[in-house]
Amino acid sequence: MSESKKIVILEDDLALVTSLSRALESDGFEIYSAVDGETGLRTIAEKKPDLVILDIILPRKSGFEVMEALSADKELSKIPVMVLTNLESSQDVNRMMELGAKSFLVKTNYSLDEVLVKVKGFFK
Amino acid sequence: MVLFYNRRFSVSSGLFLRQSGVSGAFYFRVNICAGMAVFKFLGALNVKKRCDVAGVGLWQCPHFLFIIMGTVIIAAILATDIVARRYTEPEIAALVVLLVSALLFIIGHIIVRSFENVVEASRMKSEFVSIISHELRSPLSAVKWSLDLLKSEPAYAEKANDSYSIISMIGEQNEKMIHLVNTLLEVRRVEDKKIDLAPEKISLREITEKTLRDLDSFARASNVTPDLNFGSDGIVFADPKKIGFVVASLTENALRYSPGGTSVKIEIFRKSGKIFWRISDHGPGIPEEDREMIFSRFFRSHNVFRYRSGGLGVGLFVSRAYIKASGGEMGFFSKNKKGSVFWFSLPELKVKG
Repeated sequence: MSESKKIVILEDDLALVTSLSRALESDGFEIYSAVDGETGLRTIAEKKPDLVILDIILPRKSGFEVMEALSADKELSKIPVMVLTNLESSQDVNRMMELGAKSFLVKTNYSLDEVLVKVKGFFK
Repeated sequence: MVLFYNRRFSVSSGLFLRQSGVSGAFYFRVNICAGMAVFKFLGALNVKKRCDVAGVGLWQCPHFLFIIMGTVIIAAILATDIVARRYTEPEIAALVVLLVSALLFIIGHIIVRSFENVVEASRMKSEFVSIISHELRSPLSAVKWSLDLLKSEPAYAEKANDSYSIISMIGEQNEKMIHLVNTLLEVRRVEDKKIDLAPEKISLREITEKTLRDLDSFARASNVTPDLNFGSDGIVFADPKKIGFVVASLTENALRYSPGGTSVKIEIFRKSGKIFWRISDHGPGIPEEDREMIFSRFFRSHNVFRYRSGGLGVGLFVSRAYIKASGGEMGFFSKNKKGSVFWFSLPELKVKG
């Protein structure tokens, strides 16, 4: 990769952030993370990443609120968002997809490797 | 078993009555005998014990209700039969039939009504299963990914420090799951009113200070400052673990729902022989429609905060049960968008000398 792609991860579980960012970093991605929605939005606006990985249950501002804020912003709405959560009711999935999320993954159903494959898929 | 026996009983008694065309007084006696026989079966089959096993009250227990229904139907049919024989005018017979139908209808309605609680309990249970599976998923996926990392990246495993930190993360997640399961068992005990208390002389002030130390990083991350006002040490006779749980639940809630840059006020004071502990926040308050449900188990408000935190929705439910079991009271007041105040009181421990 000539220039490493930037990814912002919004996830409040530190163990998940650590394992995911380590795995992505070893694949050459540049990782920034935030443990709540408010800080996350600031990080996204500041870093202008190539991909956002977003959880739904987040302190301060939930994933839905983050998604609404992103889609309301002209520039930030272009950043693809991958929802990575443990919620999976069709209601939650539809709401996220309507707000413009590009994909929706349920954490427990994916191994770290499979998540990496999905992330790389965004940059092909 | 009950069903089979009862059916055979009612059929045979019916046959017997039809074959012997004897007087109404005799029928009446037979009827009493039938009633007594039914109660004898009740004892013999120990319906109450079976209902206890099922965990429902007598009036919601199918075994019991079946016998009651059977008795009522037999009595009603016999009574109709007697009246129809005594008064041969078809108008009266028709009237009696109508009355008996209405009676059966009303009793049937009452019995069906008692099943509503059972239906509600079943709905709560299935909601509970979905909440618990979701709550278990977080630590389970964290463990899964941490193990993936250890397996797929031998480089990590070689660096002792790195693999140690991953393993300790797995350990923390494991602790989370243990804590979750313990909380569930506690909810079960609270439901069964089997709370084990080990009371001793404790200071609410010390418990609060310890809780704040434990929650320090959470408070910092939320940018909320605790504002303490201890007018008393709050010496009470109670179970330190249980009261610690209550203080931690209320403090955590207040911190979680406070906007950044605000403070959370905690007070301890004496009033009319009781010790009061009170916490006030500048959060969004509790919406009117949620106030009634706030102490119900597994209740989580459907407002915007539903997606801002996980949790089982049992903190307040368990807390109030602990405080009640310790001889105290618990409550709250809240104004929309103007914050909430949660408080509990415990009897003051009279210190001798």
